[in-house]
This record gives sequence, structure tokens and C-alpha cells, in this order.
Amino acid sequence: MARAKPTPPKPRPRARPTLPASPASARRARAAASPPAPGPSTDLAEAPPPSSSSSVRAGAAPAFVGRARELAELREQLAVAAGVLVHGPIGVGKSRLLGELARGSRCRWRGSGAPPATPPAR
Amino acid sequence: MARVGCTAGDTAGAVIARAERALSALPGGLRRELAERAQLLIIDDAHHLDDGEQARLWEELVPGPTALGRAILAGRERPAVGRGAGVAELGVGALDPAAAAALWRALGGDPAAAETVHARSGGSPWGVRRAFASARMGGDAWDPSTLPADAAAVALALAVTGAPHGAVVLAALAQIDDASPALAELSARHLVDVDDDGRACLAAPAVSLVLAATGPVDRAAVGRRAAALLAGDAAADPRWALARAELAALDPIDRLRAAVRLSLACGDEDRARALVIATAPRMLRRGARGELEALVAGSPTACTRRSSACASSWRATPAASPRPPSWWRRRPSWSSRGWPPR
Repeated sequence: MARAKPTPPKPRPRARPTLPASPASARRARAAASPPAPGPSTDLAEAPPPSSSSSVRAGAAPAFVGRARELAELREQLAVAAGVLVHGPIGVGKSRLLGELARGSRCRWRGSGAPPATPPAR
Repeated sequence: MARVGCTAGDTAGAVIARAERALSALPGGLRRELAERAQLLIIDDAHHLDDGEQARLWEELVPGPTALGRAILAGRERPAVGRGAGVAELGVGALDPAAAAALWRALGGDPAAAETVHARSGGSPWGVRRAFASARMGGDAWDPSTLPADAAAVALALAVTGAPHGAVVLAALAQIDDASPALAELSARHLVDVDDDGRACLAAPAVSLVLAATGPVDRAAVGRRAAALLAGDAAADPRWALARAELAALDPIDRLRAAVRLSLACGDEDRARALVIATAPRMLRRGARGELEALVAGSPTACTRRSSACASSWRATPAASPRPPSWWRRRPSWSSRGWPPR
């Protein structure tokens, strides 16, 4: 009779989100991401795990927060200046800021005429 | 409105040509377009241009204080252009504690940890997201060595190409059956975002992490696959056919430029030269003379600025020589001025 092999303790499975082939499904996948698996301690290990009611949409970038002042300033500058120089270190969110500006400008600047002096609040 | 990115090795002429195409302006007509029409033109990643090219580009972007158009030049360092009338400046710095806490809460993080996260991330938005991913996934979620094999391969494909791609293209580049689970893994770790077109883009600070964790042979293998795919001459594999179809929607000039740069980075200089020769007439017809000249006259290593600007360039040994590349010098009778060769 064969002896049964001792089974090693199974690591806690981490459910994988699936198929973010489209932005919508990707958002759902990230929203369904699992709670943290046990792992080695890290710098942030003592930080409480995020709540399960994450508002993050899978795949898509999280909501644009924390840059309202910069976005407003950029819009004000564009109302009076022909050119604006934007600079900042890598990862600080320049491209995201410009993306948000472009997203708003696409509608606002359709057609002819100068950009509005007082952009509508977002 | 048009948004144009700069890449390593670009010149002002190349970016101007790209902007003209993006705005549907006539070749050589960018200055007039911005002077007479209320257009918004955003030039991103200007740190890839050297100081002289930035100044030359800026002259075209800002025709004068009475221009109807608006231009934004963005880069990691302040673009090397003079201050003057009609020029504004915006420095984007770290998030303040309140903004970082707002982002942390928006991600779903525990508000009680927001202060700690801000202190440890330095207020960088990507730092906050990395912290969130680590808290959720355990360990350092951004450590490439902890990625599953498929996710690591997809991340490498994104890092090497330096461009957003869809799941089909990434599966072809990573040589896996389905890139969607890998993308889901990377997405859950906040290593990629998916844009409105469903294309995944690797977090800018993660590019160097992924490249550093990969050997040059593996990087070159992915680069060659990407170059072949972009050039449209990949093997007739059904998976590649789907990827080719997805890439066919991209601007052909952008595809060619990427294919040439990837070939050069892999050391395939003959291949790069053949690509340029084969497609130069089409590029010229489409008003991409500036981009063609940049490809011909630029350094093959595509690093014209300080080494910090080469974070997205994975060539191992950047050279600073302004001379035409060796693959071009082999044919001294050709020049960018006299293109196409007779």
C-alpha cells in the first residue's frame, strides 16, 4: 500500500482577474482583484490592507484626483499665453494631467475661435 | 487638438512633421496653423530632444503673442527655451498630503494609512499606486521577479516597445496564447493602465525596472519580433496576422519609425536601412520628411540628451556622436537632402 505523500500547506490562492481585453472588462477585473496574499513584510506591510470596496476600475487609470489646482492653472495659462512649458520629474503625472486637459479641450475647442478665457469648471 | 509624443533620437524637424500630420496641416505649415487657427497642440516627453532642438521646436510652436493656437511643451526637465511674452510655465511637483490622501482613498486604501503612504511615496502618484498594489498584493508588487512568466513577458514587450498595445499584439510579442490574464495581473498590480482604445501602457517608472530585470538577449528578441510585426513582414502565423491587423490601424509613419528604431536598438542596421529605403517615398508623400531625416541622420542609439533621458531607451551603449550612423555612412552617395537616391 502506497504511503500518501504529505501535502505541503497550500498558499492562499489569489484569485486572478480575467480578460481585460476591453476597458470595461478590465475595469471589472481590477475591481474584483483579491485581497492581499500573505507575503514577506514590506515597507508598507503595517499599512492596513485596502478595503474591499475599491473604487478602482480595473485596467483603466484611477480617477484623476489631486491635480485640480494644476489643471485649473494650466487652463488659465492657456487662456492668456500662446505657449506653456510643463515640467516635472518622471512619474509625477504630467502626461495624465495633459491627458485630462486634452479630454476637456476636445469638446471645448471644437470649431473655430480662440480658447475660452474662463474655462467652465469641471 | 493634437497630442504628439517625442521619442529618443527625435529632432525638432521630426516632431514638427508629426505635429503637422496630427493637425492635418500642410507640410511646413505648422507655424501658420497655430497662428491662424484655434488649435491646441501638446508636445509631450520633450526631454528626449536636446537643448538646441527644443529651442528650434519652440520657435515653430509659438509664432507670436497674437497666435490663436496654443502649444504646450512638456518634459521631465524644464525645456530649454527662453522666457518671453506669451509664455507661461507650470512645474508639476509631488502631491501634497491632502492630494495624496485623496488619491489613496480613491484607490480604495484605508484612510488611516494615507499619511504613511504619502511619506513613503514622496507624493508621487505612481508611488501611491505602487504602495496600494503592494498593500493589496503582498510584497513589492512592482518587483519584476515576482511576476508570473506570462505577465513578465507582457511587461517586457511593453517596456521594449515603449508604446501602448492591445492584448493581441502583446500576445504575439510575448509569444503566449492569451495576454489577457497577464494584463489582468499587471493591472491588478497597477503596473499598467488601459487607455480608451483598450491598449495597455506600462507605468513610466516601471519601464526601467522591467528592462533592468531582463537580459540583453531577451530584450533584443522581443525587439526583433516587434520590429517585424510593426514592419508588417512577420511570419504568416495566424496569431501574428491578428496582431498585424491590430497594428494596421496605427499611423504607418509611426509604425515605420518604431520598426526602424527597434531594429537599430537590436543591432539590425541592415534591416533598419532596408526599411527606410523601402518606405521613404511613402513617408515623403505623407509629409513626413522631418521624421525621415531624423531616422537617417540621427544617431542609431537614439540618445541625444543626457543619460537620464534614456530611461525609455533600452539600448545598452548609447553613443553621443552626431555623425550619421555607420549603417548610413556605408552609402556615402546618399543623403537626406537628396532623398530619394537616384
